[in-house]
Amino acid sequence: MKDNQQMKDAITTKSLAILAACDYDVEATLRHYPEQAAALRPTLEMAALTATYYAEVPDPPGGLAAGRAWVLETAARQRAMGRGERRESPPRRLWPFPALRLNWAGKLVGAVMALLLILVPVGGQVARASARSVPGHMLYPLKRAAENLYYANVQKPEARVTLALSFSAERVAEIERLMLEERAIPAGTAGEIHELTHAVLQSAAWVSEAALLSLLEYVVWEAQVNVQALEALKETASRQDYDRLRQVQQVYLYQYLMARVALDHPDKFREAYQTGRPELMAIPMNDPLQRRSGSDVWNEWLEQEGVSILEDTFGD
Amino acid sequence: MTTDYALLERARSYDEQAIAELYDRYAPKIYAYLYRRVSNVQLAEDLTADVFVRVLQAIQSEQFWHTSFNAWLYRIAHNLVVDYYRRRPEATHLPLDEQLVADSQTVDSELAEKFSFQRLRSAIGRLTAGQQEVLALRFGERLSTRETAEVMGKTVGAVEGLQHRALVALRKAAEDDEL
Repeated sequence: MKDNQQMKDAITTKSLAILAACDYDVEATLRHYPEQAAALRPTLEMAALTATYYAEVPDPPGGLAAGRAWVLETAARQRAMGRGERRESPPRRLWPFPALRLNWAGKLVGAVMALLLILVPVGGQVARASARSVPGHMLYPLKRAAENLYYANVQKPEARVTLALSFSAERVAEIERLMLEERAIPAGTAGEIHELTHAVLQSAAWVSEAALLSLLEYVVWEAQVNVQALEALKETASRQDYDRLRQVQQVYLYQYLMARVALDHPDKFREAYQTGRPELMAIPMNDPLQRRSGSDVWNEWLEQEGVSILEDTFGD
Repeated sequence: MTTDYALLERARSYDEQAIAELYDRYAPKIYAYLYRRVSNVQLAEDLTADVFVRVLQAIQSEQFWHTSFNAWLYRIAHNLVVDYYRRRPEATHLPLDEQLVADSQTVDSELAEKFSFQRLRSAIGRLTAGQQEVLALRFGERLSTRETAEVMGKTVGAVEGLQHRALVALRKAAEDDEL
């Protein structure tokens, strides 16, 4: 029964793609599916009608000329500002993620392995193998050491943000691979991702004025995508993994919320993260990992502020 | 024609000609999308300019689009619309101007005869924000499911499911109006 429904959904999806390719000619599309024509017709006709409905757009009153002039004027102003701009650099850490601090032996092993990765001819093959490794795999420490080495050598705040976001996305991919292998999600996963979220927000606080808003939107977007990916994984998770997935989602909700608030209050955001006081952001939950139950307070706050990550993320 | 990538590289250095070319190339599409979302020509025109100012800001740092500059532009526009409605809760998601759609009905089909554009407009207004968004992107902007997924921050599978449910809900809402 379920397979049958999936088949129907697949045919509907494909027929909608054909409809678009046929310039919304319903009859031409239905000729591809003579046996399912009766079932498909209502959906395809509604799609064609919707496309026609949306096709009519009145000309912009100003012919978009005023906006064009404003964009060019803004570019000229930014160019003039950019030439005189000198920003203070963010504080650099030799070891970027506090939670990943290892003892001296661990650091030594990590450094040696990272050096081997770079210097030894087989390093490339090892790197490729380690890139898909997951926690518990023998090459996994090498992968993390390489990440840390890479991050420590990046200086531009914008690049540090995008790099930490990519590591964060990789942690989610690792969770997915672990679950495919029917292995448990490690207990410390949410903590590690939280450190990356902190690194993202802290570096974002130092990016240029011109780049900040778009960068924060990107941070919001990444949080949404990760929450959604984790939501899908919950369906097949064990009880223990379910709780851990939920904990990781809370971290991304926190990332989402911080970035959304920062979009409205960029100056406050800079002050909070440049001085190491995220509590200045006046969000009722400063650290998602300190919460042990539910997210009622947070959800109430989200509702009050008119923010809905669930609607934004899961839509319907 | 100069590629988007080449234009963006030049735009990073505030090359006026490159910025103007990008604007001329994409502003009409973005304006049309924004109009479909906010139903106000003046507001749509203003927001179109905002989208390109955001692009100017973003390209100074890194390339934030993953697979498609086009989809990335729509994503910025989508975020501006979300922010617009969030900051003005009194505003409602209204589809196209009633008079415009009433004057422009040209579809020649039984369904079109049954459902006037006014009824369709009312029905779309009762869909969820996500359903409205997916219909606007898929059937207004004619983006692929992959591009739509990128704009909406969803998976391709989620977009396919959402568009299917949106069409079913739309038909039901239009039929309910008839009763």
